[in-house]
Amino acid sequence: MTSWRTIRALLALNYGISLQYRAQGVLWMINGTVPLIMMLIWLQLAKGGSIGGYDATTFVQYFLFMFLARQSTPTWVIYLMDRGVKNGELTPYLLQPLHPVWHYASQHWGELMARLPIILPILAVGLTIADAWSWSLLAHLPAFLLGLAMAWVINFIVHMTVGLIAFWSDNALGYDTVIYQLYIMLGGVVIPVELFPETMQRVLAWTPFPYVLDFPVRVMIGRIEGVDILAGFAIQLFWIAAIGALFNWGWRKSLRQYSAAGA
Amino acid sequence: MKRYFRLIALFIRATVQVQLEYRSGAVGRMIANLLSTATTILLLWAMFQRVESVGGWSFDQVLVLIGIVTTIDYVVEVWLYPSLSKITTYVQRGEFDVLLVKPVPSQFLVTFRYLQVLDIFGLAAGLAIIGTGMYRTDSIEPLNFLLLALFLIAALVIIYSLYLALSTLAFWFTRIEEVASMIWLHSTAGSFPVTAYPPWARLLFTFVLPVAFVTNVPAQAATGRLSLEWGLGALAFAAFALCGATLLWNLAIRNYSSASS
Amino acid sequence: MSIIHVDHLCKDYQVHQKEPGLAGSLRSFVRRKYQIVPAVKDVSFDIAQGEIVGFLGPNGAGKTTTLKVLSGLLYPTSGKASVLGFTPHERKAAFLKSITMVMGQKQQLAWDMTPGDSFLVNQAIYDVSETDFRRRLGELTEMLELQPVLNKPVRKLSLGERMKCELAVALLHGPKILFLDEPTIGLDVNMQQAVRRFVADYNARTGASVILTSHYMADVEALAARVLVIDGGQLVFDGNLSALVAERAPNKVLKLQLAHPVSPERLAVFAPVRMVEGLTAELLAPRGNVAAIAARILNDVPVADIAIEDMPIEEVMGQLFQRKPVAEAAK
Repeated sequence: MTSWRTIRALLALNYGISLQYRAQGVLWMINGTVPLIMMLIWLQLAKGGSIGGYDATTFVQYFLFMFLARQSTPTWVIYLMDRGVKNGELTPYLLQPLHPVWHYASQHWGELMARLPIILPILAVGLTIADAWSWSLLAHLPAFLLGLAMAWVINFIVHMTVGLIAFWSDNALGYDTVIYQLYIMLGGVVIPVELFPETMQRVLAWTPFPYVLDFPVRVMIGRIEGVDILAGFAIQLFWIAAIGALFNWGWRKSLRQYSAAGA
Repeated sequence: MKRYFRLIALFIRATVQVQLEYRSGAVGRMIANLLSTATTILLLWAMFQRVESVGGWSFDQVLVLIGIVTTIDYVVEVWLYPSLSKITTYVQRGEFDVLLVKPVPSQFLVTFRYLQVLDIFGLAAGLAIIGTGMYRTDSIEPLNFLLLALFLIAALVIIYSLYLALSTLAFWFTRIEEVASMIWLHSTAGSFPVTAYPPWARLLFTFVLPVAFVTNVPAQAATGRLSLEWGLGALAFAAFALCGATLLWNLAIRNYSSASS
Repeated sequence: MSIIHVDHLCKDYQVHQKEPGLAGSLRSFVRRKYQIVPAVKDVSFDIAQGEIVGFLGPNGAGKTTTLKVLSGLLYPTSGKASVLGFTPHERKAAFLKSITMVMGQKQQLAWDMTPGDSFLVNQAIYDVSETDFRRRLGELTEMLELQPVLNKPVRKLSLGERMKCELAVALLHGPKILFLDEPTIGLDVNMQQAVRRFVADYNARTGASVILTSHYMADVEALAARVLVIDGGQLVFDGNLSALVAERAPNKVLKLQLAHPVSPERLAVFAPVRMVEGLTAELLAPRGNVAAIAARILNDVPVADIAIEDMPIEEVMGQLFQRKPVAEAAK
């Protein structure tokens, strides 16, 4: 573990760096507009009546909050680890009394802090234009934020675990795309998980994917309530623990492999 | 002319060698492509469990559309992205001078330098999907294949021009590195028929992000549903786009040569 | 009392072999051939607190590998390494807080922020108290003349300024051991001297041990009384630098500036001739005899100027390695 003081210092540094590259950040965000495109499609489809319990307003709410969720959880840590191993950028981190995870995480948090001022207004404008906001949604905010935070952790650890491949193979980036596809497609970004066929939903329930994006968003728009929310949190915690353990084991093995290249 | 073909052959050989070095990268990419295609079709199928048609297109017609998108994505990934994305690197590192001094047009060098022909899998997958969709809609006819080929080429010309034009912006805004994202966004939007979008968005997806010409037209051509206006429109747009992008490129080079130190 | 103890240390690397050409690429795609390359072979030594030790040797000799094992970055293939009582590759927090490593080409400083920003981050990571931090920062700023660059973004600094800041950020937590890997590489002559002065100064002030690798003789000459010569992964010499020179270089060089040209045959009568070029000549004379030989030459040959020097250390080293002498050229 590490101290709050260290995290604060790392955050300050990385936020400063991200601010300098804000123009870049906007371009990166273009990737995350898939929910908005899907929103348009489903909106048109719902003109003929609600689909599986989702009417036009529900679709707008779902995809706008999915946009927020998607923009808050991007991960490029596989790319960082690949570079770290290939160029030896990991080496200075290994000399410090701090697990490199914290460096990578702070880079992501710094970036998130720099992007929120752009994401939130888009969300607000979207909700207003489509007349899809209702003040009752506010009650769900705390649960949403907690679910989103845990979703971020799950997503991050999954990527870090896959990123361990960088220690063993020349090109881990291919697997980055794989995970990314899975997380996008099966996480509710294209089709709300509830609208998947029954069998698919039952299969997906055994994977972490629905709990990364779809779950928090559904909490926010009120489609999950009470005990079910707690059950969802429990499952998220389970995934964090399970993948975390896998990562720890893999990390130790991978460091043994690591031959600090470049000198 | 022969010189150019020989150059292309050399470029391909060099890139293949580099790729073979990174063998699990090749395998990883194959798996990624396969998975991506499979999941896309899965999602399409899931969508059609809930609705009868999307934008007036049936499942098999949209399947052809997906095949077109996959094929175009393959070309982008194998050819456009590796070669053109280096433009920003060249500009940043001031390496453009090296290119300009070579006795071969810079646009050629930039375009053909990194052809990654090993990722044949993506192409095979894309063509297979198109073929399946055509079969299921009883569109297997020579004319359709001809038209498909013609409009696929037009589509590639448009994508190439788009990509080149955006990359050329690197000359003025040195850090335009994420052009690839915009092209990818284009693919996502293009996986659906333009008619599936709200009316106000259809204009956007015809002229700004030209998915109508790039994905819809070839798909319609393959299934024998292409109207004359749209066909001509696509060809005109392709010609216009290529001229525009080449002009922009030459403008940028002129600017660069006179300004660089 | 030794703080670094190395016992029969061995480290092997796995290197993937490839044949050139397209056919070779295809073959290696199907079946990888690995070669085991021993980088460090059975090396043993001890280093005490406060010593400055230089690792000397040609490129690829295993100097940096040894350093990386000592700093915990690499696992030994066999043998033992113990630093300050810790096993380095366990990378315990207390161990990492007592060492620091500066590598010529890798940097700790955040590229887009000021050195000051990075200092603050390190203060937090190494848990340095406010008083200690302020004191060390003050000392380092003074010793390295950092005042003008502390608030400029790192990407705007010259290579020399960056190196100084790297040294500073590496020392903020007051480590007991400094590992310096090629610390003067790529720097101009002035900066190289500044770095050497600083390291010597730091060692004198704080008693921290310094292990440095270099293939610049000047680094080692200026700093390290003791050198470990590593060649082909093996330790070929461990001891005093001047003793090494005396043992391996029994001859001194007589440099003559002639008043007018003299034939090499005439000069060879007095001592073996190394070279003759125009009005300059160099002869070799054994240490014990140098004065007598010099006197005879001065009597007999029209000499405008004479100098008696040690054999260039590069040549000594070169002979030691039985290869071409290590060049002092800039990298």
